[in-house]
Amino acid sequence: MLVQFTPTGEIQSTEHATFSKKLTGGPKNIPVISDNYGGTITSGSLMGYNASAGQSYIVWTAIGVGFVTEWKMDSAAAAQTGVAALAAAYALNPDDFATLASNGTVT
Amino acid sequence: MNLVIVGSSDNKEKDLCQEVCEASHRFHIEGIDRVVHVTIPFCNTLGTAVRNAIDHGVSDNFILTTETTFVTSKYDMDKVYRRARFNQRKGDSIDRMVNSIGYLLQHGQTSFDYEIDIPILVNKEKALEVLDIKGQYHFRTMYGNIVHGSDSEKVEDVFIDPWVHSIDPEGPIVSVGPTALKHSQCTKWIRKLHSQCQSTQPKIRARP
Repeated sequence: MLVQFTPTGEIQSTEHATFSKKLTGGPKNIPVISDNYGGTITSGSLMGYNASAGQSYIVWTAIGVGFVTEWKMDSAAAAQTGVAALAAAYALNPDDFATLASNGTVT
Repeated sequence: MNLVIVGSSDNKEKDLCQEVCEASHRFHIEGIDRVVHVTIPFCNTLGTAVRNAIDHGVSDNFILTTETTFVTSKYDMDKVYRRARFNQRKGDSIDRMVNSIGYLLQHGQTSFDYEIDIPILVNKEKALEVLDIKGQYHFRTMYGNIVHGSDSEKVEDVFIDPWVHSIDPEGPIVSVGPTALKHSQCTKWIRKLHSQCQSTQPKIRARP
């Protein structure tokens, strides 16, 4: 199956590479320190704890090559949805062509 | 610089297309000194045509286009474009794209879709390197990714097929398909474009 990432136009082939999701940085939960502090933040710092802004990707790797490319998704949920939708599309028809939007929608 | 016009043997409007294709390219693109026409059988590929053109002694850098591609306004050949959206195509085309993407990723190249009917500037030496790669590939996609990588602009397709009655395509590049060419308004539009390009400099029909 050929998959095109609509924000860039880049194409990958499931015949040559596999896809997976990759999450980096936040969102991280900052431990509740007391009733007066804490809660959760998605990025920045709180009481010495740092959380970098979250980044979500769909990563393509190939045997003998390793990392091929990564496509930046809108959110962790978008990466999760995208991976699941690509897997479903592949199961339906491995010879098909699919487009992936950064919100995880596959058409 | 030479202009290589690739034609298909099954184009029913071949004469009209070739004439207007050449006239519109000459009119809107600077520096074309000679035109080379290459016709390929239906199943053959652009790579075959490029090889034929090179065998016929084209200039070191040449413009590659197809006979159903027209230029409607001034066009800068230094710009490189890739296709924003891959269109679903038939089996052989998909197979070639899968092969192309596979080769490119195995060799650490980008994998964009350059299969868009836009005139491109081709370097003969680099083209030969691409043509020497064994296998069935898409020439534009291989050449585009190997030579330009991601250093290109993403554009929507310029290909029109079928023709919708009242359209007046803006350009600067317009490519038409076989179904569009059956529409009288499409051939009328091509003739209109021809008349707009009539003030072009005298033709130099130097064929190899």
